[in-house]
Amino acid sequence: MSRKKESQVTISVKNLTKIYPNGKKANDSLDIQVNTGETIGIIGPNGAGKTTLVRQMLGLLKPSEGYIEILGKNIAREPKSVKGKVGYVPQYPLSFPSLTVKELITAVMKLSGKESINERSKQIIEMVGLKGMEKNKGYQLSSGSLKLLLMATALVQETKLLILDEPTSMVDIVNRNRIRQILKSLKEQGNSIFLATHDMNEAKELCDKIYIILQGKIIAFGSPEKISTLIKSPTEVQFVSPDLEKLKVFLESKKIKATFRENVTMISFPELSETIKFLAELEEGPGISYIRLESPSFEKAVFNILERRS
Amino acid sequence: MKLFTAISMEIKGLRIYRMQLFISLILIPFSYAFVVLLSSPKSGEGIGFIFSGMIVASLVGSYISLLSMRVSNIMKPSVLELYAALPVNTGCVVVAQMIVYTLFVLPQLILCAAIAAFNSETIMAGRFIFGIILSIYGVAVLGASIGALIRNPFKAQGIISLISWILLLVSPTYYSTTDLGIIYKVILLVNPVTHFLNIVRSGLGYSGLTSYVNSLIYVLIMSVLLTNYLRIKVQRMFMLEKF
Repeated sequence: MSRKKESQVTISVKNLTKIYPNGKKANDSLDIQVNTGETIGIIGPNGAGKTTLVRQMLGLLKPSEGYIEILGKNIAREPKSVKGKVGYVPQYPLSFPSLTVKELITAVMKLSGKESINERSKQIIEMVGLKGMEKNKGYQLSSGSLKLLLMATALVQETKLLILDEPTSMVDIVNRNRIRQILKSLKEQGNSIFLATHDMNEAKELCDKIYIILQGKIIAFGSPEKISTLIKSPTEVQFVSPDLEKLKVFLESKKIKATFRENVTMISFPELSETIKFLAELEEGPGISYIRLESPSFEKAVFNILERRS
Repeated sequence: MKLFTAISMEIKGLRIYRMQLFISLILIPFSYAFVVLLSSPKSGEGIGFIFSGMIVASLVGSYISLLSMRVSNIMKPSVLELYAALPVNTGCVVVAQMIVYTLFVLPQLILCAAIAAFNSETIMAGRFIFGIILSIYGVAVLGASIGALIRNPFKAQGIISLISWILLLVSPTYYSTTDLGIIYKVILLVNPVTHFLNIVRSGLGYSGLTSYVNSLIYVLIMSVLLTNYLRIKVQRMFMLEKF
């Protein structure tokens, strides 16, 4: 049983600490696990240590303490073992300026030892939204298109693990959605995805588990739903009641302070549960003809967690 | 197969540097030769001397001015990151780049060697060809090592131009050493280009500042040390660590 469980772990980060020669602690005792078929998100502000973590995973930086195992290989002992086994999209839109989109994808496929290069490269180009740009050279592409090209080079390697460092930054809304669909489809096919991102919606939509890092430390982790409820966030409710006079009497009896704008009433509750209780009583009493609720969102929760800890 | 693909990527990758290639590989070496030929005696020996110098000057243009820039670009952190997850290692890419620049310099190398040989009174074909092959390897590994050492293409642009200029100026590429002072001669002997020239010209019967064997030992030791240095640099684990 234990052996089976172990074989399902794609990435295992244990007590990982990275201290740079200048004494800066970029990662501090990180413990992260990515199981096969899971999508894990790392969220944190700039300088939180996301890129340092990714660079250690790629074998470019040596952990000061702890270890990283990727697909069963200890990266500190075999830093080049990720080659050809991990698809990677770097944060910066860097590519080969003189190679066309098609040439680069074809070259990466050849380096990966793939067959049926023409057919597959066409599929990948279409999948990432670069159709019509096959003959464009790297230097002619926008930052967003370069990110799509990097995504394509990661995908053509057909690896079981993808490490993505802000894959949709600089990408327009249509292609951003396209990338999310690709990632969802890869997840459905059983691939593991490690996603470092600033985009809360992306993390919420794609990730099974999210780690929030600040100053190199994990300050919260869990599913997006769990993170949303980790701390109590205020809930704003706006509503219209058919009988304003009856409403005012009702609010007075409950000793609830409200703000009025024309016929819209606005109330803030410290917790979602109180809001739900109030709305049930409101429906029984003066009634509701329109309602807009701003519940404790994932974004707000993450923001509050970061703000409290920083 | 991976090496072949890396070579193909490098050749295609050089399309946007066509003008730089033309200047470094053709224009500068031939314009130097043209100016020197204009002011020197038009004897066969003189022409043989100039064109044998051009063999090494072409190698300096190709490997020190161009290859070192490409290698320094590969060693840039963001490029290392890009290559980290590509199924090709940095060593293979650097070897591919060395091969590509050898292919680029080969036509003019053959042309210069033919002109030099045709205009020289003595030819020891074996020694001459061996000298050229050893110089190809030695200058290539020197250029790649400079690139691996600098690791920053922006810094490299300035430093490498200066290194190329010094290597060619402080060496008897286009001038004879007969009338030079002893201090200048000693300075010339520090420069590896002087020894590459000595090895190449020895096959054509030209005597150098030092013996053929001395230059051979210098070049062999330098090539072995630099090969080892380059191997350590490009195959190093944790390439973004500052050691």
